[in-house]
Amino acid sequence: MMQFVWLACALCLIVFGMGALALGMARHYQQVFGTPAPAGSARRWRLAGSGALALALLCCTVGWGVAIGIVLWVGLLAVGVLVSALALAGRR
Amino acid sequence: MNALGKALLGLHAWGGMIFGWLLVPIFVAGSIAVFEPEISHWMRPEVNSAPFSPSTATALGEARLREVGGAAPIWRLRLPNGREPSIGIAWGSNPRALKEETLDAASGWPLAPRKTEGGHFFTHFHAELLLESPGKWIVGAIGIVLLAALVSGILVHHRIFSDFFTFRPGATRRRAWLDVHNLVGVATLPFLLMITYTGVVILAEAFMPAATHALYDGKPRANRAEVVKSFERPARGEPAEMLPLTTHLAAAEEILGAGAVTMLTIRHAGDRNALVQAHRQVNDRLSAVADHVTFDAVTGELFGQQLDWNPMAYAYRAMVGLHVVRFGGAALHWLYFVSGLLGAAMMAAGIVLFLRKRRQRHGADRAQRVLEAMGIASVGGGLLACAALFWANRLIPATLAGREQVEIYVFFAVWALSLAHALWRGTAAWCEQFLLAGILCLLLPVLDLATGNGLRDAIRLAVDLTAVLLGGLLVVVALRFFGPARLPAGEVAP
Repeated sequence: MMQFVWLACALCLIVFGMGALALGMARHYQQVFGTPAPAGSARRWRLAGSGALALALLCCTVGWGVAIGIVLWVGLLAVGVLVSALALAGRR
Repeated sequence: MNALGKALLGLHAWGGMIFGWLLVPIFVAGSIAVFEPEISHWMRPEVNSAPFSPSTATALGEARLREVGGAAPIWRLRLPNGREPSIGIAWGSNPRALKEETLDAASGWPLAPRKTEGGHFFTHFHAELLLESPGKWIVGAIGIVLLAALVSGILVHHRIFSDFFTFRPGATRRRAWLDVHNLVGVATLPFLLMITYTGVVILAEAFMPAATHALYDGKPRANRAEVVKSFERPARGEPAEMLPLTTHLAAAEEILGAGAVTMLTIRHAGDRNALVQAHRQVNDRLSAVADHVTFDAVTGELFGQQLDWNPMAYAYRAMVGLHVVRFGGAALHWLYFVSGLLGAAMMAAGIVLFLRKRRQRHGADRAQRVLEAMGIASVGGGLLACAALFWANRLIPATLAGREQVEIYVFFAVWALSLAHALWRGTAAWCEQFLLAGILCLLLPVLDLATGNGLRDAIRLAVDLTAVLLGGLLVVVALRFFGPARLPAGEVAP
């Protein structure tokens, strides 16, 4: 049961992290907020995104053990990329 | 583009398309094979799923073994689990030709499930195209080509990292297909590299047996015997009363963990030198090594155990474990299932892109028509054949002799027909085959309801729901991406 709590945490962190990494790209920032990205914002979004992904790895390894946790994390990364891309696809 | 870039593009495009004809069905079958036990259960609607306990199941299995296999020296008892909720017993004197029977896990009643390969068909097709050694060579070879295609793809599609999150379904169809190819490819890249690499390594023994020849006289079994300890002894020839198997099960659980025993094997049953071997599950560890313990069946004394393995066994079985994903429960099974299907979708999008580009350059000549038909039959036809197998399983009479072969004939017949259909209909076949495969999947719960002997359980419901979701997706893809309507000016379908 606890495993699924960790899984849910990791999934949220990864979706947030991948979303943040996307906002760290000028084109997607413009897509989402409608204005060009202010100076320095890309760096902050990328930092936040990487931090969230790292935290998610921690969640996976704590809940699922190191070996299986890493496999789980890599699998969830794909989910994060696709969720972010599909969320952005609806916007011009 | 420089010469190297052109060479890479040629390798990626031609290699990807030609080998994609087999890679897409292999990926689809492999993804479905993740759920092999569940599908085997779905395909045997004579088997009920009832609450069970390992010790009762052991007692029931033993009772039946004493009844039918009393004289046989070898007994085998597979315990039920959540994914395969029945008891399997086997008995005989030749370990490779045992008589088998399936028992109800709660009552121990012998069941007569229909003869079918079940979910194992997909594993069998995925790993060796049902062809034994030659199939392994083919699958291994195209696995190596896939590794080359993946690496060249990273170099050819150099925009994948700047377009990391880019998907523009509203753009032109060429752009949309390219986005699908790149986005799905990059998102699942770690998975694809891992699954292809481990797949090739697992098959390495089959297509590179040099080491086995040099060290073990070409006998893989000799290598295996060196790694997997076997605790055996000859029969003594005096009959003796064995302790109940539940006693041995309890002793084995002491060592291997509660509820961790998957199978009991009895050698020299009824003899003074009888042995009981208990195998541990592998579904809670990455490296798929099955620890085992052996007891004297008459006294219950510990005869031998193997709880740790040499480092190479751990390393090799980690490759196997990573590939066949017994670990991690439903979460990992679903990630593998979805990632594998996405990999197939990525390759299918690559095939579509190749065909579009070639058609724009060369028009619809005869070669184009053949390439197009091969692509359609490999992607749409492969999906259609998989869906047809589920229908064949339920519609072919349960008592028909040789029905397990007939199911497989149906699979290949549908596949062959899809090629003929694609040759006849041209590009319109994309939409038609996806639509038909989607409808077959959408209607699977109806088929289950009509032919399921009134047995509904969580496993069969999950298979039905998954089929509905996939079927819906296929219909959407058929209409949205392959459909004839809503073509902007200057666009060609698909």
